Amino acid sequence: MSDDASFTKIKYVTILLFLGAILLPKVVPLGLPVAISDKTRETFTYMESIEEGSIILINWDVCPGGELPIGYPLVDLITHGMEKNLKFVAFGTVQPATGPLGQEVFMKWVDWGDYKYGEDYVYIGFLPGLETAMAAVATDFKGIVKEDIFGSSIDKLPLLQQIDDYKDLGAVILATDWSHMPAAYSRQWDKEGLLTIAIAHSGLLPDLLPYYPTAINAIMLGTSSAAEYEYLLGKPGKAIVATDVLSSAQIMIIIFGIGSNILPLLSQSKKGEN
Amino acid sequence: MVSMDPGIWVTALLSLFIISFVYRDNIFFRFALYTSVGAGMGHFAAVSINTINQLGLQTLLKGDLRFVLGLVFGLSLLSRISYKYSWLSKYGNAVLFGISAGVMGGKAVKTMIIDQIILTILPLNGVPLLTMVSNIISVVAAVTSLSYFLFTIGNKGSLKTSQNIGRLFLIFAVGASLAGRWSWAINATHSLIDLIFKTWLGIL
Repeated sequence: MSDDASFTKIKYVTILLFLGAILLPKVVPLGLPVAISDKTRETFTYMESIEEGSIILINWDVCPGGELPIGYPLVDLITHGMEKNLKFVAFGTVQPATGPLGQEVFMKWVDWGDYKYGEDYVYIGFLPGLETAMAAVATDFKGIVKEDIFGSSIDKLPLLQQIDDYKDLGAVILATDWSHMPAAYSRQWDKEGLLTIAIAHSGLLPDLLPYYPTAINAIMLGTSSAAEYEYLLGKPGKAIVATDVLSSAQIMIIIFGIGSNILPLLSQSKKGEN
Repeated sequence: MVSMDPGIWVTALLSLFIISFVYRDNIFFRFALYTSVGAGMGHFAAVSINTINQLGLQTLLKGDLRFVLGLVFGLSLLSRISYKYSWLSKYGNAVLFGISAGVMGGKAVKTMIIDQIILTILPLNGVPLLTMVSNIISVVAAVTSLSYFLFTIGNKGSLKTSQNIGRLFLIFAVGASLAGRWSWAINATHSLIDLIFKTWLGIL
């Protein structure tokens, strides 16, 4: 068999094994243990400390594909916040595609129960302008926000009437998978006394840590943080299954990593002996 | 039960077309790719036009003149369409660059320089042993990694050891970042599997 054919065969086997590792925990839940990290406990404590009825602003800037690791922790934080009657407003500034994706997560994934749209939660959608838009939202909210994603004017949305600038907020949640966002966010939203929680996937940790705990007070990383948070909330949910999937697929990647590096070495040493 | 929602069918089929690239480049993959680019551009244009209308034109019509200059400079960017008048766009660009630099520059000094220097001044007394070790590692990592970027000196002389240690820390950081991105890829695949098997086909 030629090297190319052999490589193609290995590629397909690898893909099938990888897909199997993701599918297996969905069919047979593995129930792998979840250890609650200090960072998740810290986020939980911060959420507990927010004054009842406060408004939480969510900056949702997530690419397609990132909705799971960022969406699950966000849903958990909102679920927790609803126990304290917190209000939620969400927007994005990086690219227009984040608008509909955020809408799906914010409007459909969260069980809003008795909450009323416009009074208790609002989804603004995409605001063009990147960092200048972020700066404007922090300092002149009504100057840049004119309507929500459905085209309703802010005059008809009582919740938005209560916001003039960052001083009217109880906390800000930065939900992102863009590596430049932690720096941009820290530049525009590092405000005295304003609680900031970042939600990202674990690959963004090196980008977030330089701003922790000065500009960013708490960090939630992907589905594993969401699973830990679900335990703290006492409401185990989808994130725990997603963490099983993550663990199973990561074990497979470790096996691939070790196998693909050690097997060629072994075959080389065998050739050497012959 | 298989979903009857046409939106789910379109999403699932386009997702399958895209992942068909794993097999090889094919017409379905290209169709999905061009559709995605086209839809993205269309959405971007619609959002931009709506924003100009809401923030610019509607505000002007209400008698608020704050956005006149913004609109004029914004229009000047469109002059690039014409070779003869493209020089007008430099004024719009100058405003964009100036404002961006102003919005970012001043605040960057505090958050990206001063705060981060403060974060490397870590206590060694009165903290648990593990925290002390962690603090020492953090400071050593920050200093040696920075020394790696002193290109004027190069990898020689008294800084060579520090730069080599710094390079190790940088490798660890890249490794951690790469592992994190794998997690992102796993989650994205998980999302796709959920879409196909659960939302579309109703199997899982």
